[in-house]
Amino acid sequence: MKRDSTIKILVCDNNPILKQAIERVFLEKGSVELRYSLPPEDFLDAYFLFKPDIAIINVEEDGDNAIDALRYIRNQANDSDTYIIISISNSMKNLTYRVLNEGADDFILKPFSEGGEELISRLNVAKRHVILYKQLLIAYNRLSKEIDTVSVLQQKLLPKRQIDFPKIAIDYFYQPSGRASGDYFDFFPVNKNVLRTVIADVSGHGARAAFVMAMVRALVRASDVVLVSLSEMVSLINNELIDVIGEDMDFVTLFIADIDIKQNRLSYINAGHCPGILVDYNNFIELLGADFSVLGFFSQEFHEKSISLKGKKGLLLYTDGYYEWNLDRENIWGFENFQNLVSNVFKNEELFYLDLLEDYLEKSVEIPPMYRDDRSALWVKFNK
Amino acid sequence: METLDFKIKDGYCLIKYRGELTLDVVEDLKTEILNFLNEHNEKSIVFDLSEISFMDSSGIGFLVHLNNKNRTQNKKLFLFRPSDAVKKTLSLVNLINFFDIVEEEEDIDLREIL
Repeated sequence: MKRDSTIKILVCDNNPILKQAIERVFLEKGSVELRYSLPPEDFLDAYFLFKPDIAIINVEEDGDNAIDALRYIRNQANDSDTYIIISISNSMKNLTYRVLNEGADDFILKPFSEGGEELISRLNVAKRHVILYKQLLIAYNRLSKEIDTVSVLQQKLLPKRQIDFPKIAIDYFYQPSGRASGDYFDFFPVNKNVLRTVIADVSGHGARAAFVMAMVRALVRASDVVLVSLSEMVSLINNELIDVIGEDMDFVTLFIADIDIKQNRLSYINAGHCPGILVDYNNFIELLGADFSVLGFFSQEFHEKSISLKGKKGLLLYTDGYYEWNLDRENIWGFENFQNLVSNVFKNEELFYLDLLEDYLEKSVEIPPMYRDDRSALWVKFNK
Repeated sequence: METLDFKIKDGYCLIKYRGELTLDVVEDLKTEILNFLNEHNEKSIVFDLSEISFMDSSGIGFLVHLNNKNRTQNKKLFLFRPSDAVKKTLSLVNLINFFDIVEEEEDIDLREIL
């Protein structure tokens, strides 16, 4: 993409009326760079060196020179931005459809009338097009920078790897698919015995998903200051989301758990999120599926479940990006395959960690997985 | 290739979408389907999901949105023969019971919602 605000014009035609018209339209005001490429066989070299916004190519003989240049610019150089005008003799008018189909934006017929009124109008169209395109590019770059800022801020909202909490070790993995993601996870102590962990996935991507994610994080983090139960916390999040999201299509899936090292118990609420995977020391896995629906659509009454952690090795939380990717054009890898793979990792390996899961995922299929969504995972290991 | 078909049957609107129900298509689908429904007064809408090969979270959001929108207009949405991909995804997020799912045409309840 061209970023300079100067309009660069490359002309491969030495017609004096065309020269006068170009000078009248483009040189009167504004920042313009004008170059002529004569003879025509040097046109493509000049095009690559100059990178014009507007190219005017004269059609010679059977039109092959212009068609070859058009094909090269549009297909090989993959340039759809340059505004290309073909100047063509009236006797070769039958070629106009062909050059337009090959990627020209406009054509001008020769001989030009004295004064070149039509010629001037068509050059003015090109000028307006290029100015508009440049303005669009500036706006796009501005928005793009905003999204990058959102993405940087969002990454700051994720927790630090190290946590100093007795009997618990946490490993995490985060890979956004775009520049602003809807995935979120966090862990923090709510008192000296209880560690709160959460993983959530906001539907969609981009700034909107990042905004909702930041809102959920702020609400969850409020329990760092004022202790609220899991059910109160999830109710609060659900009600706030209903209020904010309203009738839109966005929603949040969330798995939140309190790990009590004194009571040796896990309390959790799964609201429409992928099943948490609880692993014991015999490497058997237990799925902690969704007892409640996704958040943000309708009121629900949440109740936490409680499980003894006796004999349990750890809890694996993750987002659906781990298993929602295409095996081929028609088939999705799917949750069952992910569950089996996780089960195999635990059975084959003495020590589980998330980079190891990455290795298994890479080897699970012939071609490395083509993930289509953000991926986040938390491995909460309970030390004996 | 994705296709979207509309039919007016005896007492209901039948919508059929073939393809992946994902972020890439839901905004356009939403506009097309809601425009169609606004022009028709049938109280029951039957959404044929038998040929949905994949549905992501945006697809889920779209179905819930469609359901809620119809409910507020006193219309009823039925999901008709959802594919395994749709059923699995709705089950995982615990939304399978949120929808009226029908496997046979005769099960479509055309009684008006009070």
